[in-house]
Amino acid sequence: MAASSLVDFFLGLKLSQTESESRRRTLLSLSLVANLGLLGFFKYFNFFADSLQSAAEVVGIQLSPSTLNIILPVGISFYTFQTLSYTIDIYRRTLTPTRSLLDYLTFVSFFPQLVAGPIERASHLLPQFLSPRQFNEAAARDGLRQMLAGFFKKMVLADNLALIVDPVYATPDKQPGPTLMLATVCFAFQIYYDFSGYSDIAIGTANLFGVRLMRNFAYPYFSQSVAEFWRRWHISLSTWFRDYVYIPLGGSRASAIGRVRNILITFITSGFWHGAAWTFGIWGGLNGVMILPETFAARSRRTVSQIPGGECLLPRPAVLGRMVVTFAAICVTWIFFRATSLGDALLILRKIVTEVTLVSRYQPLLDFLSAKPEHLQTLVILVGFVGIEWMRRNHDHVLAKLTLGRGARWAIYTGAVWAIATFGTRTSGSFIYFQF
Amino acid sequence: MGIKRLLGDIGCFSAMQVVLVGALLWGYYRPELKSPMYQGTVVKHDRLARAESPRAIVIGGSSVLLGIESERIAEVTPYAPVNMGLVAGSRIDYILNEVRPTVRSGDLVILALEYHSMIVPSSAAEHEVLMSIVEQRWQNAQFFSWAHWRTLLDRGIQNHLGTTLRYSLEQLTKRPPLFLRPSRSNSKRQTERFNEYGDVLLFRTSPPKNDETSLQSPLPDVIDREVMDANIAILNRFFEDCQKKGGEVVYTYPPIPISRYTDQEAIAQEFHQILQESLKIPIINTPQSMALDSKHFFDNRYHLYGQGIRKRTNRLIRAIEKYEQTK
Repeated sequence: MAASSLVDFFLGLKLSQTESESRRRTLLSLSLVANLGLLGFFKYFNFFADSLQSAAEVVGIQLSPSTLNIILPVGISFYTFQTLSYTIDIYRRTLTPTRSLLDYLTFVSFFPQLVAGPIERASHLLPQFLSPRQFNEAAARDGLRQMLAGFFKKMVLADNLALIVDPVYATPDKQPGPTLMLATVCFAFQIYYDFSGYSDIAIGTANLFGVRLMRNFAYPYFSQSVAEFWRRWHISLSTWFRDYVYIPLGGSRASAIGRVRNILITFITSGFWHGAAWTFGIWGGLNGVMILPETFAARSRRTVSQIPGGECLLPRPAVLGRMVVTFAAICVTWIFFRATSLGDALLILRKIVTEVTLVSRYQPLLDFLSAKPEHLQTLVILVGFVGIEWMRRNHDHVLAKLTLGRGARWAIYTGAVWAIATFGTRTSGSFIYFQF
Repeated sequence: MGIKRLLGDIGCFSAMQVVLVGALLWGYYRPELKSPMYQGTVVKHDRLARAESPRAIVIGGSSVLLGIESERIAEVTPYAPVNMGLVAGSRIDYILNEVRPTVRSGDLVILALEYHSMIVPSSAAEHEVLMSIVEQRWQNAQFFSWAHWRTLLDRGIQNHLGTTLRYSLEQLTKRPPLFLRPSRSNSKRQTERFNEYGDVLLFRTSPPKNDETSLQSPLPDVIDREVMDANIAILNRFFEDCQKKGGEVVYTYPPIPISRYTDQEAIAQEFHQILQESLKIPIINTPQSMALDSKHFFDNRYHLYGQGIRKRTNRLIRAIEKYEQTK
């Protein structure tokens, strides 16, 4: 992190002092090579070595490339992109570099968002460190509430859903289709609450210091299309790829084939950002394919600022139908994200598709749930919380702007704290996105 | 002003939670009711302090807690027996630390460690076990190693709080609060469960619950040599510390169902060979000598009951006598 930060700090200063376009491109290239080189080495070296070996074997060549016992630095995928955005924005002349190394390093290493985002843009975060801040009581209170919501999502929901998902995905060949389907749906919520919970904790903590981080999740599972999903899911990463990969490739100004190419490159690259395995690339590619229809559709797109699922308390049937279909499509992609191999992912998909209508295959699922009452508890809490999110979807987080008396609010906070203390301590799960 | 108001609210909210938790625990939680076997640590340390040397201090996990007839040792040997066995999940670091400071000249420390204690890292102590022990006797915290504290400070204490709350809430839904129930004193509970030497009495007369499928082998398929060597080094250091104080240490094998020994005889022999090569402590028997019929096991591969306890104790005594003759 120190190396990456210092390289970009000094290159940023040099970029702002240089008028020659060729020299500016050279400096930017240096930044890209340094940052992506570090990321590539730590994260993808063994993947490339193994892939090269596999590819060579296909054509009958035996290779024995060295693989390294590399420890992946925590947060490297996040702060690398953060510092890259700094130098790219300076190159584009949309950002003036800071001359204060301390402020710059604070921007890179700001602890709430260092290890798992949100990936902040310098133009948004850096000015906040450069200007004096006053304690803001309202922001601090909202920050504490958001942290509480985040801890609830992570410890009560995500960690307990993992207890359902992990044993099923560990032995997919032994599991019937309905059980795999339940585990897949549970994983969809596990990864959502794990990651959005972390983001809530990060954003809430930053609020205590008077620093505003960008919103990272906007109720993505209430989306009515995959394209809308990607406007609501991991917003900081998807906008980063839009601004620094998709648009430079030509974006939607390209021809139809060009747009398809740009979307697929962006999503496949985004997939590999998540992990050094072909399943992540396939996951990204599938998502890219799924958003193509809306990309070419003429109708106006639903934006993040709009309330997901419409403004009615109960969704209209057509809206509900689109949400369910979108959620199902996203769950199919999550199979590839979660499975330990491509073979397992295809096996899981095949079993779900072929066995979901077989009544006899549901008995093992019932046995699985009844064997551990805590799984049923988790599912009940999950359904309840999704309902609460639906009711509060017009707010940044579920505990924002509670218009209740102090007694009622403290009762809610007490319930959340006790739920975390009782349900959230059955496991010792780490954050999924820490591994990226 | 804003920050003071916020801190004031946080303080009030936190105080409210402390009161609620305190009320729940006062009404529904007693460590000796939740984990009655861990109460044994009070009896055992009391015995360790009062017994006069020469003492035969048997240490290990639950196979010692449940599977030694100390009265027999007192009857037949010149030693005053002390059963320090409790639970293997506390790992050998803790188990040895409990006894190390109190070893005196003439004492005989009998290491009757379970097989898996030697093949699991000593640092991998189960936090729930450590917290349950400390709840019964807070002084036992002095026996924790730095690795234990790391486990506890990481998520151990937090998870134990969760376990405690879950247990208390479950009790709240099932029973009246403790202050409304007829009470028995702690010492009465202890004398019902344990004898003066620290043996558990319950399993001596209970009918068995096992079948062959519940008696999983205590031996691994492959021995992790690195882990075992590290544990042997811990035992050797303990041996040296005891020798400096004039105490003796011997190693005995734990009981094992005959069927499991037969299935994994090669691994058992390898285990024995590794100890013979590296352990400085005299080994007074062999794995085979402690293989017992499955019918003597209570509910798992370590817990004996009834006649099994007597047989194991007699074999241990014979091994000690043979060792005394040959040393």
